[in-house]
Amino acid sequence: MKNKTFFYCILALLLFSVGACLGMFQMFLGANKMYYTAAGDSSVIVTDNVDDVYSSRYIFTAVKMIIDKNYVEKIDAELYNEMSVDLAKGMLRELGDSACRYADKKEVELIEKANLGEFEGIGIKPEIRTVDVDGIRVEKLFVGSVIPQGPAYKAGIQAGDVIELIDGQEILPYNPLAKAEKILKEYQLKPDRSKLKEVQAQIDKEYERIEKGLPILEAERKISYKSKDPIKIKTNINIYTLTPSSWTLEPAKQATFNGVPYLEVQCLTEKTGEKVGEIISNFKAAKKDFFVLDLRDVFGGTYDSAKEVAKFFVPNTSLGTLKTKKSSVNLLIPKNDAPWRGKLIILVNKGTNKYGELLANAISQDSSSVIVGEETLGDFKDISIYDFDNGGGFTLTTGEYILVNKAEKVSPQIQTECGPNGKEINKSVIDKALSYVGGAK
Amino acid sequence: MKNTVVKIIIFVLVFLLGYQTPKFIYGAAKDGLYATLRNIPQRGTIADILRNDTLKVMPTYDKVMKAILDDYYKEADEKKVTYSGIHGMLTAFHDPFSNFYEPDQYKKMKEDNEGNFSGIGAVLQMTEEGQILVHEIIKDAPADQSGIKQGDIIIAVDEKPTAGRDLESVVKDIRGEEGTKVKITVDRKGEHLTCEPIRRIVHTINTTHKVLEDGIGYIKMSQFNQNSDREIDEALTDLEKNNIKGLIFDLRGNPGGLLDMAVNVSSRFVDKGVVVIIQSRGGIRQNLMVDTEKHNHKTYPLVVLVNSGSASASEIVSGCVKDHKTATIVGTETFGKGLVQSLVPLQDGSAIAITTAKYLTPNGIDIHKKGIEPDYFVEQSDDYVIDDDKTDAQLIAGKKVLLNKLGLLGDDELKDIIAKSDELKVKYEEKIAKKEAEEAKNKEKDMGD
Repeated sequence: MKNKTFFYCILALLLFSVGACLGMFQMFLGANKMYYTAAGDSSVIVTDNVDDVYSSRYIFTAVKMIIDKNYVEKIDAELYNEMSVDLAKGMLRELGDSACRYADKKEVELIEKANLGEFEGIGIKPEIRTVDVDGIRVEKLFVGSVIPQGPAYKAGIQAGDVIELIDGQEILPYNPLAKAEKILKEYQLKPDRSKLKEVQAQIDKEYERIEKGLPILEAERKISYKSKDPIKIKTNINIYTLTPSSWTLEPAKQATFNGVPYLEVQCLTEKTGEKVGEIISNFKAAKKDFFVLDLRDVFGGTYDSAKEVAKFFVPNTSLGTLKTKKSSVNLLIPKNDAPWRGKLIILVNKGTNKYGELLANAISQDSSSVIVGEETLGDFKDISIYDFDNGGGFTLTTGEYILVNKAEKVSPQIQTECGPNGKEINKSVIDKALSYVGGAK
Repeated sequence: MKNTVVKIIIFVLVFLLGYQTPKFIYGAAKDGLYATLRNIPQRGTIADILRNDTLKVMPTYDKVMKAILDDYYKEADEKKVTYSGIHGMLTAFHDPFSNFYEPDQYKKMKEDNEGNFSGIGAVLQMTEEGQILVHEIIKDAPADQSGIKQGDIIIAVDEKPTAGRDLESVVKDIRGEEGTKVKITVDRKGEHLTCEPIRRIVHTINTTHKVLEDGIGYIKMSQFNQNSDREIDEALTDLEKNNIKGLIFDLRGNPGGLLDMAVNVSSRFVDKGVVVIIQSRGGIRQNLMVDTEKHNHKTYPLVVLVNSGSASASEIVSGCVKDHKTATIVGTETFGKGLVQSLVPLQDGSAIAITTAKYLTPNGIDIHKKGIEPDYFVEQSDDYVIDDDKTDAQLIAGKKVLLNKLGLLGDDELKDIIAKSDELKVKYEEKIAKKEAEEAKNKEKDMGD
């Protein structure tokens, strides 16, 4: 019995030693893989690859580690999440491209739904543009497109309007201090003590304005989707109170005004092509020799859906070229044995952009069609969306479209103000347009 | 059978215990080491970071960067995107003192902190009229030797006019490599003169001293930097020769600087004990003690002048002398920055400053957002002219308080000061109470969300 206890003790000791040896071995094995490099003069940071210490990723890792280990408060899951979001926002901000930005879960959902023709909110696609005001470049919030049938559409807001106030708050450009800086600089160039008080008052007023104002990116988000409550918007035209709602657009719709047949494309989704085909068959069956293709306020969707519409008019040609960093792709329009052979009036307005513009431009290459309306926006950026695990994501400009005729925007042969999608146009304009088109093919 | 299972379990446990022992010992030694290396970030490996990164900060970086580099339609600068990302990430902390400095910003900051750079040794100021004025000349510095005088207006640097430019860009042109010449055109009472100082390393002077009437010594420190230690020694040595009886230490407008210097300067006025308590994450406290070797001068009855511009290291010093009762604090409440930042330089020349600790005064008082409460509240007079002692109400009151401490002025003479101080003290307490109520309300609101 005594012997047995002794044996177990020895065994335990042996096992302990073996464990300790292995533990030590494992530790030093791990330690050998590290390289210690002095960062500046006071800290030590470790990398797995000694060549990488100057790389951006290494710098970022170091910063992240220093914060992780030393920040005065405990960093909880929520704060880590906020750090990730603010990190992504910061990185994208550097690109100086308002189309590249962080999108939270809700916003990603809205973008994806919009591609199916489902919309929520007040129905304005905002657009940040830089304009010159008294020699200072400032960003202004424009109505890029008005989504057909939404609250803004019904209220009469139109593409190209400038949004001035949201819920009474003035919209501030990226650098709201520019004006104050300019006042100060002008004073410094021509100092005049008698005006010092006045200048000071002007600057104080600027600061007050900034304090009460709304940064343009927040304003953009606010009207994009954020609020569920009614929003009061003042544009350069009028004041509107818009109550957010949700609605679904029909991909395409047949209509007749004063005996003139209309094919209204409301949005470009997977189903638009099919529906356009159906309506064209109806026109053919009714022996129509022309119709109006309404592409006003058409902006979203995908180029595939645009191709599926284009094949009824200009099959076997090209929608344009998509140029990305790595490649240049010719966007071929599929074959179609029975395209529309009659005359065509294509309607565009300021709200027609991106795929709407590509489509209008491609179809107008055919001599039996004429473009009528307003000059389009000229927005040929291809935007991709990337997802994060938290349901959020970010958008990035990943390419540019080049039109078949290399045009920078779509310029109608007959220019006229023409209102929003679905609104009839003057009969005399239609007659004039028809006289422009050469005979049927 | 049961017996065997228990035995096996015990053996496995013993094995694991052995396996973990080296790490345990190593870890303990490591923690012990770092506890003494206050303010210096701990070591870690990338594997450590990934393990700690419970939530996607690294993956977010990688994902966004990959998308930008591979897919963005234009070329993007990886470094700039990273810097912008770091700036963004820091906003999550809502802490105005946690900052990232890009290489050029950090370089300038380092010059300011070290107090040394290659230049001409003139302190410049932008006048209200937008002119560049030579405000001060450092004795025997290149500017002094080349004939530039205090009060000159700099109108051109290397024949480039200064009109309409900001001070920073003019200073950038004046500073330059050691040993090079710079052509400075000045306007001296309508006369245009050109001087050509040769740039060299100049030490900016942040501590000035003088002897006031009644044998009172006066030291003003405008920043805590690496030279502060030497400067305060020199000032005290010089004042000692003048046989001063008491001392006024002026920290008004001093925005702070290096923590070590706050400890060293405090050590001149307090002979032993705690200078400041540093409290880092998880409430871990560390007492920074008086460096007795630095307690190398006679101590005098002391008055410290402070105002709302006295922040950080200034507040550490004034809090220390106040709690140790070795000085009387005169002025208005201080800025109230009770946080300590650590600055970590990175390989590419950039640096990150993050808040790594709170500090408490020796009596355990958190002064953040409250400031140090002076013993005598004294406001500056409305008609105060910079550097004019006659209009400096706080200095005048400080002198009276000091003379009273020295027994050279009766208590009656302080009556007015005390009456006014009590009035201001009530206002200060109201302000603090209001702030605290607001904070409590905000906290409630946060929790409600």
